[in-house]
Amino acid sequence: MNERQKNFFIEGAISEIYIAEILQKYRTETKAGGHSIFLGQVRADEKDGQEVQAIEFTAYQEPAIKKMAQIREEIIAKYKLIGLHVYHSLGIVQKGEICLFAFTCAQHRKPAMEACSELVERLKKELPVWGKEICNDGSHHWKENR
Amino acid sequence: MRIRIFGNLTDIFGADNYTIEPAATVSDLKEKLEQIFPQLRNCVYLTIVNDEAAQENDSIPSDAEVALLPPYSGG
Repeated sequence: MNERQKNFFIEGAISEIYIAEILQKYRTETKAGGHSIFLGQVRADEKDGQEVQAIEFTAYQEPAIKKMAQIREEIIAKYKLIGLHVYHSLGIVQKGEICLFAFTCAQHRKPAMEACSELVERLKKELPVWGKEICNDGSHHWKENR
Repeated sequence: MRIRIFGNLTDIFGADNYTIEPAATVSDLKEKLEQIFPQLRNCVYLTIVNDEAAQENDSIPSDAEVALLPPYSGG
């Protein structure tokens, strides 16, 4: 299940069906004992009295893809994972839609959960990706990661 | 030279790229840009030269790919 993922960017929202299809592939992975999943969703925050309707994601793509490949290899090795999948949206994602899908699979729950957490923290910190929050009046704010 | 612009810096430049006469070093480039866009002085950003984060005194080859990256906010 650790075939190299070529690109982790997806144009627009990540569909729930796509997530289910990846999960289904693991039915035959009978050495696996635990999966951990993180889904990032666009939140309708209030900004200066306006509501966030969508986030537009942009990236410095080639370096982001290289960095993600490095993070992926390191986390798979560190936690001896059976599988790792990660997808991040580019372009417009509406409120309520999924913009990040991180999935880790291991023999036991602890490495799966710790790996998933580290994966999400690292990609938020290390990937050259930016989110522009677009409000209902057309104004925008640049997202800040906490 | 052509510079790639990202994140909130695109609001200042009004585009995701900007062309300027070649600069010898990173500090030369920043000085030129800050004269044209004084708001840049209040911004936090990394200057990337050919995929590497560059320091103020680093030189910029004439054919280099240069990018300005504000703090990341993906995920």
